[in-house]
Amino acid sequence: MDPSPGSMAPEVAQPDDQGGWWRLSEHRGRPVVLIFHRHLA
Amino acid sequence: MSDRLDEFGDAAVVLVTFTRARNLRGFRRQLGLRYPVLADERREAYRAYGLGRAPWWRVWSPSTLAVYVRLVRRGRRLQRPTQDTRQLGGDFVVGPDGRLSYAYRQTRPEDRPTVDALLTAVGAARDQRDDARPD
Repeated sequence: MDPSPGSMAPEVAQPDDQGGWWRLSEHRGRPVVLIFHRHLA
Repeated sequence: MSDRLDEFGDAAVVLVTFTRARNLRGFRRQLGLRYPVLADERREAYRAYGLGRAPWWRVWSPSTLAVYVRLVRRGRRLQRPTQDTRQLGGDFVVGPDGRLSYAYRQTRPEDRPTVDALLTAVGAARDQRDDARPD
């Protein structure tokens, strides 16, 4: 099932460009915009 | 997006890519991005958010080719694709409570929401937080 508005956002935990890890769960309390890159961007 | 980042205020903006982690710095520099770039090499996050791959006939549709023609006319030099051209992207806004408040999954490579649409979605996500706050 693909997540839809109103459901909990799946965790995102991936390496970032600073050599660390970026985790969605560490950004609670403020909005987060996730942009998933596609080839034409 | 980068040139309008300030309008997003306290919202965190992040770009998820399926490029290799060691290419991230160059990737961010090349695109002049002002927000973090992530490497989802195995596309775990892509899958978790329901982003699949487009069939080839949609990737090379007339409307997609028209976008490439426009880019070339504007002086963009097209590079030979080194990444999966069929991977579809999307844009999501997560509210302060961790719930998804906006989801846009592209069905063709050229469609994507405007920055204004994302700003509106972020505003709505913020309002949810304000509604939940006790007086």
